[in-house]
Formats: sequence, structure tokens, C-alpha cells
Amino acid sequence: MGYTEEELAEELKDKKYEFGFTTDIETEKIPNGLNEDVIRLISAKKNEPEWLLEYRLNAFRIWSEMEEPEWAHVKYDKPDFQAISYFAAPKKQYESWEDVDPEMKATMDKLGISLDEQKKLTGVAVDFVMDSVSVATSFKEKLSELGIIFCSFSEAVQDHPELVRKHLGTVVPTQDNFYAALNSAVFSDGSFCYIPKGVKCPMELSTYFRINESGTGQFERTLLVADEGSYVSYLEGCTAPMRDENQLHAAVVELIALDDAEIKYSTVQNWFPGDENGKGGVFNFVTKRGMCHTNSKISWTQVETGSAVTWKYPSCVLKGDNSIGEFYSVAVTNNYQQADTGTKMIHLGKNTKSTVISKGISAGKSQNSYRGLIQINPKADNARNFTQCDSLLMTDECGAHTFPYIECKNNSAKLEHEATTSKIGEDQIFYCQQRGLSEEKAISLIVNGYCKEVLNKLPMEFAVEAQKLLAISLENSVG
Amino acid sequence: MAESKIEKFAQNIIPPQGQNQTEAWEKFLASEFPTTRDEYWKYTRVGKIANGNYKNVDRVEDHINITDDIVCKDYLVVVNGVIREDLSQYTKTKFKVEFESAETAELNDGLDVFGWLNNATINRKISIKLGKGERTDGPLQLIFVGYGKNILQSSLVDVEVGDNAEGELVFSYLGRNSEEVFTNFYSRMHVGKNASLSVNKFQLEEGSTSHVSNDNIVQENSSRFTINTNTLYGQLVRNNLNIRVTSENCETNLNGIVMGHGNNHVDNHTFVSHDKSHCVSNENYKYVMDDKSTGVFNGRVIVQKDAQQINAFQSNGNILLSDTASINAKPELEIYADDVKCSHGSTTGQLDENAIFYLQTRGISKRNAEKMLVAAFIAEVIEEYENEDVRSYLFRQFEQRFGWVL
Repeated sequence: MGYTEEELAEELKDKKYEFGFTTDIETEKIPNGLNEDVIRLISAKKNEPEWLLEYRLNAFRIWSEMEEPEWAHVKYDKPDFQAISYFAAPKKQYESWEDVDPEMKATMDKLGISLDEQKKLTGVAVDFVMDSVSVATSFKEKLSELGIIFCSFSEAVQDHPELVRKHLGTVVPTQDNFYAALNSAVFSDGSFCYIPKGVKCPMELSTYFRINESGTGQFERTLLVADEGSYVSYLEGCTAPMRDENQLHAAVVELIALDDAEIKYSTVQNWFPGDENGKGGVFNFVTKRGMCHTNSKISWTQVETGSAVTWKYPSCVLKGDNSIGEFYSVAVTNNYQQADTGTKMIHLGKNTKSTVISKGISAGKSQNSYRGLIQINPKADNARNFTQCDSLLMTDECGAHTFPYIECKNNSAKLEHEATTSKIGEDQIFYCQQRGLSEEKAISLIVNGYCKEVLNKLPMEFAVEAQKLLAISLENSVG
Repeated sequence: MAESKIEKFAQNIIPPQGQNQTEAWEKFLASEFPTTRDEYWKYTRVGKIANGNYKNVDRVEDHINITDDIVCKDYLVVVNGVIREDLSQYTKTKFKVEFESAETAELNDGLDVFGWLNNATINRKISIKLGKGERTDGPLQLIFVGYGKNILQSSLVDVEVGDNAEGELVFSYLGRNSEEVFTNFYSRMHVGKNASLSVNKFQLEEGSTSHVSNDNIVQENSSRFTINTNTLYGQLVRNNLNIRVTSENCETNLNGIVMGHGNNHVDNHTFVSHDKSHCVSNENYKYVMDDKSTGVFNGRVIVQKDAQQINAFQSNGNILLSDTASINAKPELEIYADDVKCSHGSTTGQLDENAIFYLQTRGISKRNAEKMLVAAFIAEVIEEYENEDVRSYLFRQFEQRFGWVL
């Protein structure tokens, strides 16, 4: 890689939350509060068809009757849903990349995702979301030659209403949970991706989400459909600016892998985690789920280092025979962060397989929980699951918890679950020190080795970023 | 307004007399049966109990034959919650056995619906004490027999093991001509400093019996506690085992085997709280589920803040023999300290076809090969049991009831 640990260490020296800045761009905001009129307003602003408005209103009615869930192992002040503005969009719309506000371009540079550079060098198409409306989408032409649709959700509603209508809400139904219902009612924008039959997407598709406007919750909606025999690798990365008040993020991601298709979905999540005293930070309540049809495969990989409170369970419904679900996760919590994350693997079809590897690292005064469900239904013959969830404790004030649920209703299933919790052994550190490494370096070496299984699953560009993030997140946290 | 579930449940139960019990009874009437919406009862429906038509009794005089199930020299027999000294014999044991009138006995605080019901409907509280430094020669066996139809039997047992003492107990739950019996058992055990207590539970309630057990254990400094829960029968069984390790240098062992058959539903909820440093806990539960049975295992271990150098191990193995049996496992770890070694493992599967084939090539029938493998699977737990009489009794039960030679 040509990037040594010394360089990393130098770079990380005194490094705080690097992406904590805000961009001054005029944004259009509607008053705080949530009611049917607000939803009609959002829908009207986005010029949405009647059926989508109905979908939103229905979701709002369902949401109004739901209660906020409390089962997760996290404590926080509940957001006041009437104190949030549900729509914020940069006022200016751009015709082409050249028209994009230079200030916004600078923002992207700071994030290390300059579109210009990426267009030329990396071959990654970026769908950049600043607050709620997609600003620019690159590489569209190249993708459209292959018939791939990769655009913002609002564009998809205008240009491909039939596809959106067919698939929206089929994986995460409106009534699924409190936050999914809220999202269904007020989602502002997001990404839409369709890979046609038999097409292997030649590049990694990626979206960067960013919360920008103070007091604005983001309600992203992502819908990704991989038609029969297709393949796509999708990257999602998040950074957020420093804020004192808690910001709500309730996204819904739906993946559909039709017969023989494969989707690889990678996330690096680095929302603002709050400061050292646990003040501020993002609430990340996300519903992510994939539907696997016959012989298909969905693989979730995530590196979670940000957010004050995380509540996230990327799941797979293994509906088709021979389908495969995978979940690889590294979750790091520091200071007062709280994470309750894991996965659900619902085995419905025959010969379905799932693998779950979860690595939790707790530092500071944080609480890190793994919560997972493996469900084998009566007709899922020969289902196979392997789950491994390990936790590493860095200080004596943090907590690491595992809450696995294993439900088996078929006697041909083979399920394995193992979990360990421990701290880095003094003998391990001593061994490294004997070989000339400093204590700090020894720990970083051990942590990297510990997460390797998951980091290896990330695409190259992300793996580098993820390693940096791990290092930033664990700075000075070793007790 | 329609009658509430609790009121309907209570209609044939004689309300208690004493003040303490009346309080418990009122608290019971004011509570509700748990539903699967309660996380603690997620996998167990108590409808069978809640819809039951039970009555409690204060006299049973029939002779009941329990000879085959006596494992120990000293035993105390309780039939339908009524202590039967005429059937018992416990003169040699070093345990001091006393009965307290329910009207004056000290009851509990902060119970759940079954706890209140238990406290309100016991006849006499059983109190078992082992003095400081005393050592029992062989266990004391408590035999609880459900006898007859539509019976609610509640028993409350208090066990106190003094400092440096060493004791062994056996709790047997049996059914005789029983039909629609609900056993509601509650125990409190206190293990003193440097003391040791070992408990073997045999749940052998045949007939359509429901069983809810609440065992609450507190361990003092350098103590040792072992409990082996063996569930072979019972249509609806729920065991809540709560262990608080309040001090340092303790050892805690929890073992269990479950044989599921018919429509049985067996649920073990174990909870170990490590409050202080330098302790070890080992947990090993094995389930063999056949027919349409359902097994639930929920093992929860908490390592509290400042409880350093804890080794907590939990293991759960499940075999499904039929395609209509099911299992729900939830091994939980909650760790608030850093210098700990904790692990849990849970496996679910079926018998290894290659192993069966291997045995078949050696001339063993398929059925027998399966039996051998199940026996080996279960024997792994039983072989750890320290008391030889207990082991051989259990082996005998397996042989007589299931035809399995362990």
C-alpha cells in the first residue's frame, strides 16, 4: 500500500473528529413538526405521484399509533419528533457537474471524495447526498450504457416509477418498526439502483451521506434491485459535522437480490459520536434488510465507529432455495457511545446458508452490544449457520454484551454460535514489546489482527479508510 | 365487565388466612400472567396454566408409593404441597429441618405473578439449615408429589448453609395418578462463607403437569454452589434459576439436561450475576428434543462493574431428533468489567450421519446407533455429577423410561 504505520501514527497525532465542519449553503427548510400537511408538502415539493403520497400518508397513520421501542440495550433522551424539520434541500439545483457550488465541491474534497478525482482515477461512481437532495451524480452515462440505473431516489420516482412502485416497501414493510414507519412517511431522498439481468456492474457504486443542516433529521431511503444473474458492489459511507444537539437519522435500506444475483453492501459509518463528555452526537436508528431469492447472495459488511446511539441490524431474508446471507461487522464504541447492533438471518428456503462475524470493541465508558437472530423455519431443510461474535474490552468502565437469539424449527439444520469476551492479554502485549513494539503499537497491531476477518471483506478503498477510522476512534483509549 | 384471567384462575383456590399471605394473595390478584410480549417470557406461553382450573388442598391422607424414586437415606415427602411426615424419614441427616406455619412465616418481596401465588398458597414453609462447619453424609432428598386432578401445589423452601459447611440436596418432583397438576415451586438458598452446596433437581412429573420453579441463590465469599437440573417429564416446565455471587473467590456450576418428547415445552432461564472479583462460573445445558417438543434455553451472565478476573463459561448443545421439534436458544453475556474471560457457545444440530453409518457397519441397528449417540451426548453432562447415587439413579431413569443405556 505504500502507507506505513508510522505515517498513520503521524497523521493521527492529536487528530480529533476531522470531518466536523459545516458548509454554509443556503438551504430550504420547512418548519419543524410532523403532521399530514407536512407530508403533503414534502410530497408536493418533490412533485411525487399520487400513489407515493398515499404510501407516505398511510405510513404516517401507522407510525402515529406505534410506540418507540425500548428493548435495545441503550439509554438516551428520546427525540422530540415535533421539534425536527422534516425537509431541507439545498436551494440551487444543478444542471451539470460544472454548475455545482464550489463551496460544496470543497466540502467533498475535505471528505476525500472529490468527484473530479474519482471520475478520473478510481472508477467509482458517486451519488453525493448533501442533506436531503442529491446534488450530483457522476458516471451515469457509463452505467446507463449497461442499462444500470443509479440515481437519487427522487429521480427514480420521476423516471422509473414502475420499478420503484413494484419494489418499494416489499422488504421493509411500513409497519415493520417505529423508525421504518417514520422513514416511510417522511423520507426525503436516497439512492436507487437497478442492475438489469445478467449484468455485472463494472465499478463499485457508492453514496456518501452527510447531515449538514442543524436540527434536520435525515431520512434516507435506499432501494437496490439486482435482477437475475447480476452482480453489484455498493459502498455507503457516512460523516457528519459537529453538533451539540442530537440529530436523528432513521434510514431504510432495502436490497432485493433476484435469482442468481449477488449484492455486496459495505458501510463505513462515522456519524458524529458526541464529544468526550457524551454531549451531542447522532442517533442512528437504521433498518436495513435484504431479500434473497433462489441461488442469490447478499453480503453486508459494516465498520461502525460513529454515532452517539446506534440501533442497526442489517438482515437477510433467505427466501429462495440455496441462497446465502453474510454479515461482517466491526463496531467500535468510545467515550459515551452506545451501540446495539447485529443482524437477523431468516432462513426460509432449503439449503440456505448464513455466516455472521461480529467484532465489537468497547473503549472509554461506552456500551457495545451484539443482538442477533438466527431463525430456521420448518421448511428450511439443511440450513446452515455459523455465528461468531467476539468482544474486546479496552477499559474497565466500558461494557460488552451479547444477546443472540437462536430459533430452530427444523431438525436438519446445523447451527453454531460462539462468543467470547476478553481484554487484550498482558502476555500478548508483553510479547510484542519484547519484539520492540511500543505498547500503543502493540495494541494497534492486536486490534487490527482482531478485526482482520471483517476488514478483509471490505473493498480496497474502504479498507484503508476503515483502518484509519479504527485508529482515530481508539486514540488514547487504552487504559 | 368480563372476569379477568387472574380472577378466573383464582375461583377454586381457597384464599389464605394469615396477614402476610393475604397480602401476597392480593398482590397476586392485582398482577397479570405474562405474555410472549414480555421479553422474559418470549418463547413460553403460560396459557395452559392461566386457563387451568386448579384447586389447592390442605390435607392428603392417601398412601403414595414412592419407593422407586428414593435416592437418599434421608427424605422428606410433600404431597400436593402438604408435608407428609408419615411418609418421610430424615432422622440421620445433619440438616435441621423445620416447618413454619405459613401464617407467621416471613415471605418475599418483589415477586412476579407466580411468586405471589406461591407465597399465598403454601401450607407450611420448609426451612432447611446446616450449621457452621457441618458436613452432611449423603444428600437430603425432598420429594414433591403431585397427586390427583386439577391440583395447584405450592412449596416454599428456605435453605441456609452455614460458614464452612458442606451439604447436598436432591429435589425430586413426581406425579402419581396426576392430571392437570400445576407445581409452583419457590426456593431461597444462602451459601455461607467457604461453604459448599450441591443441588440435584429431578423433574419427572408425568401426566399433564405444568411446573414453574424459581430458585434464588446467594453465594458468600469463597463458597461453592452446584446445581444440576434434570428435566425428563413435564408438559410445560419453566425453571428460573437466579444466582447472585456477592463475594470473591466463588465457584458456580450449573448443569442441565432436558429430554423433550410428546408436546412438552421445557424452558430454562438461568441468570448468574458476578458482583465481585475472582470468581468462576461454568454452565452446561444439553437438550435432546423429540416428537413435537419445544426447548428454550436462556442463559444470562452479568459481570458487574469492578468484578475483575471473572471466568464465566457457558455452553449449550441441542439435538433435534424429529422434524417437528424445535429449539430457541438465547445465551446472553453482559459484561461491565474488562479483565474477564467470558465465552458462550450454542450449537443446534442432529445426530452425525457418518457416526450412525459407522456404527451400522459394525452391526449395530440404526435405532440403537442413534440411542448410543444421544446417550453419549447426554452422558457428557451427567458424568460431571459428583454424587454416584444420583448418577446411577439418572442412568436407571433413562434406561427404564427411554430404553437408553448410558
